[in-house]
Parts: sequence; structure tokens; C-alpha cells
Amino acid sequence: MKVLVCISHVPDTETKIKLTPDRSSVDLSEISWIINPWDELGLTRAVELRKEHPSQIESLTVITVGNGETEGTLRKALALGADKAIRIDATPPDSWYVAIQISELINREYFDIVLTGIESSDFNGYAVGGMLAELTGYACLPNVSLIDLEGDKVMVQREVEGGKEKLEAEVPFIAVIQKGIASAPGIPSMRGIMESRKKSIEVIPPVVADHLTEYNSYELPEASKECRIITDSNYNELVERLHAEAGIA
Amino acid sequence: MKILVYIETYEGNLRRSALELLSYANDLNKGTGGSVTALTGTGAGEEIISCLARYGANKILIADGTGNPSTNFSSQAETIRQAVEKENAEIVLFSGSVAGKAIAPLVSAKLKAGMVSGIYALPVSYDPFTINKKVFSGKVIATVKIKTPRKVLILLPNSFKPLENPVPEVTETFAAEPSITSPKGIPGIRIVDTVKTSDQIKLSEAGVVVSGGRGINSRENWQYVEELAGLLGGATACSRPAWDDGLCPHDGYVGQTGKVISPNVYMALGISGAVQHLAGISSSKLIVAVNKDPNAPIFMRADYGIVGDIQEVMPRLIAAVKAFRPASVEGSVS
Repeated sequence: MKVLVCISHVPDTETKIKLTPDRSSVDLSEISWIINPWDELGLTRAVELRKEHPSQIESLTVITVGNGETEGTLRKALALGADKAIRIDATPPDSWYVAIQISELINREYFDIVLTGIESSDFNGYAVGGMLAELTGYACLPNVSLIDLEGDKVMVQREVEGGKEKLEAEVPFIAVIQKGIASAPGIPSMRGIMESRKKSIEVIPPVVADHLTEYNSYELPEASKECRIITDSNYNELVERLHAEAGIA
Repeated sequence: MKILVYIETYEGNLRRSALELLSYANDLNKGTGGSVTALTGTGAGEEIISCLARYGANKILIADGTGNPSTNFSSQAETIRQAVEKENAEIVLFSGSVAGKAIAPLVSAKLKAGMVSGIYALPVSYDPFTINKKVFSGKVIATVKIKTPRKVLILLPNSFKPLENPVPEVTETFAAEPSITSPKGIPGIRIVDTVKTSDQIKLSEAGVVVSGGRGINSRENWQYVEELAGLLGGATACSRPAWDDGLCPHDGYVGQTGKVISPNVYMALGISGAVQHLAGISSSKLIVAVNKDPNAPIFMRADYGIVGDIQEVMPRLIAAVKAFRPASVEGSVS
């Protein structure tokens, strides 16, 4: 089976986000970049699957839509165990644009299993996986927290309202990944890092595509008020305040 | 504007988020006029229908193929697409629930309608249509313009208060054509097993969430979390470290890669407030923190803080809640 993991290149989640002086964009100058945490979990699971079922997983490709600066992130994905990385050379304006670019590749090359994180930790869009499914005609399996191979069957668990469903899924499909898919993100081994240097990053030009939304300006939320420390004597006052301010109790 | 609202039910009951969406839709139309259509499934009973009208749905469209989000998302999205076309809706509203977030992007792609998730307030402007959303897990607010005539919006749970706005009850049934847009069809997906973990649904919509972290120390102390949540009619949750240590009975945790919630009140008990945890709770309206370390980062974000050990603080806090209103409060709308 051919597996594709879609990677979003995002600022480290610990980064303090600053804006440019005109607030038209996020100041990217002092940011360290990482693989989007959900994508990283998906990739980790894909690498594990191949270790567990080497004869069944024929290839493991990662893809991102981004400029040359994303190559460090792709190298990390290669070091974690992907065979090959593809970079679609564009700075994506929105999720629709990203979905169009990746769907072109899927429609051209075919993959059995496509993994995307449920959201990216930067724009929190919840969009690309579902859009990709529509654009490729692949089945969409949302909220996937487990993927396994049992013989030639693919077993998937997904979260639904108020519970979980275990499914037997025919390929091809797009699985939208959420927590639980891997217990923790993988850590590249020294060998993985050495080998990643020999692996290729294929750069392909983007297709012409629209974007449906535009991010025009940004602001930082108001700094939260100073925390009011409650001492023993005024727990009752806290409860009264919560009642007055939020209608509880 | 013509607005179509995707109504979710759970085990035959209307979800609170459905009423939030209707109130949001009514407010959207306050300046501009228009109509609100509630799209629901054939399972919706009399009580649900009358409730939808009471909260301002001008028309209740009862469609085959919606209402049970655990089945097939693609065919539901196709039903919604057809309803949108039929009603000529300009705005399609979803809740930021498990199902809402799964279906909305499919509908967005089918209609080629710009989609914005994580909205929590009315648009900044209607023409051009611009609206604020939280990005970087709540650290930044972005103003997004939707360029397409049709728009798909996903509303953060608890960001809009349900308000009654009674209108005459108008219902219409509608049978969607089978999907014609998916050339490869839907490959075989067979449900092998289902497991219910029903507190999960409570968590995403709960007005009050009482959450335990590593400072809870022992499984025995978890009772404080349960008791306080019970008294306040809220749901319980936990942080990743508490989950990793098995301190709580939960199936998942709140935080960056876990559950992202937006309650009115979040009570963080023994949670230090790592960035990854704050990413899951940044849309909470009020945060109350109990921690023995006065320098814990949670106090930087909390509105109210109590410095002290869980075992000492909790019995007193619980007593104060009981003293305020001795009887336990009824649970929130299901």
C-alpha cells in the first residue's frame, strides 16, 4: 500500500507570537518551525505501521505546500522514517488552495491511505482533510484515533459524538487524524537523520488555484486581567462572583 | 441573508449547540433581514420541531440522510449541499462539534464556499464579509475575508447564548437525490464495533468544566473534581499529565493535541498551565485555578486563583458552593 502523510509546517507551539507593526501578518522572523503536531502523530503511526507490516506498506511519502523554508520540516519527516518528500512550491493563502494542490498529486499518483491532521496548530482551520476527500473522491474518515492492519484489512477507529466506532475500511481513504493515533510523536534516530540526508525532496510547481478566504489583519487578544487571588476567608465571595459573572452555582 | 443551520441531535434530544446556532443566525439577520432554515433529520420529533421554531427557525427542513452523524459523512454533506441549493442559502452554519467539524469542510468543498472555523462573534462587516476567528490556538485573533457568495461558518460551542425568539412553525420534508458528485463512490466501510463514552459529548458543550491535573496527586482525590462538577452541573476533564499518570477515568485530555473546549467557566485544579494545556482552554470565558505553586503559569491566565494544596482547598471550596445553594443544580440543556 502507498501511504501519503500531509504535513503542515507551523511555528513551534511554545513560540510567543508577535505581529508585524502594521498587523497585516504574523512576525515570522524569530520563529522556530515544527511539523504540525497532529501531522507528526499521523506520520509516527505510519512509520510504526510499516515497521509492523513491512511487506504491506510499499511506500511512505510526505507532502507539504510551502516555500523553500519548509525543507527543514520535511527533512525532519524524512528522518522520522518517510521515504520521500514532496514540496509544492507555493506560499499557500488558505486551506482550499492547499487542498487543491495536494488533490492534484493524489489524483495523478494514487495513494491507498492519505493521512492529514485534524487541524494545524497555526490557523486551526479543520479544513484540508475534508476538502481533499471531496476533491479526490476518496472516502473521508474523520476523527481517526487508531489505524491498524489485520491481514489485508485496514482497521480504523474513529471518534463519533459520544463514543467511538471501529471500522473495517476499504482503500483508498483519507483519514483525518486526531489524538490517540500514536502515543507520542516519534524521535528521529541518528541513523534516521543520516539517511534523511540522502533522501530526496521533490519540488513541483503549483497548479493555478483560487483561494476562497483571505487573512487580512491580526490582533493579539486583550491581556487577561490580573488574576485575583482568593484567600480562605473569601471562598464565598468567589462563588458569588462566579454566579454573577457566569451564572453558575 | 438566507441562512441554513445544520441541527445536531443526540439520542433523540436537541443539542444545546443547535440553539446557540439558531440564536447566532437570528442575530446575523438582525441588521440585514432574511430567513433561517433549520436542517434536521427524519428522526426529529414534535418536541424538537417546536423547540426549533421557538428559537427562531423560520423553516424546519426535514431531510433524509441527516441527523445521525455516526453514519456516512459524505452522503450527509451531499444532502446538506442540496438543501443549501434548494433554499438558496448564503450562509451555512455548523457547530464546532465532532460532527460539525467533520462535515463542514466537505460541504465547503462541494459548494466551493469559503469556510471559517472557530468563530465566536458576529461578522466585522457584511460586505465584504469579514469575520474574526482565533488562530494559533487562541494566541492571536485573525480577521478573515470570505470571498465567495456562499459561506460556511463553524461556531465555537458556548460562544453564543441561546435566546428564545418564537416564530410560526413551518416544516417541509425534503428527499435528497443520491450522491452524484463522488465519482469513485463510497468504498466499503463496515462498522465492526461501537463504544459509548458519553461524557465526551458533555465536555464539548458544557458551560462549566472542572478539570484535574497532576496536582490532584491520587486517584482518590479525583472525587473532588467529580463532586464540584456535580454541584455546578458541569463536566469533568483532565490535563495530559494527569491522563498520562492515570489519575482520572477519562478517555482523553484537554490541550493542544487533545480536546479544545470553550466553556463559560473552566476550573483548573492542580494544573500548572503549560502552553499546550492553555491551547485547549484559551476560549474559556472565566478561568479559576487552584494550585499550590503561586508561580504556576496558570495564574498568568486565570481570572481567579487559589494558592493551596488540593486536599486542603477543595473541601472548603465545595462547602462554599454548597452553602451558596444547598441543593445540587440541574444539569444544563442536553
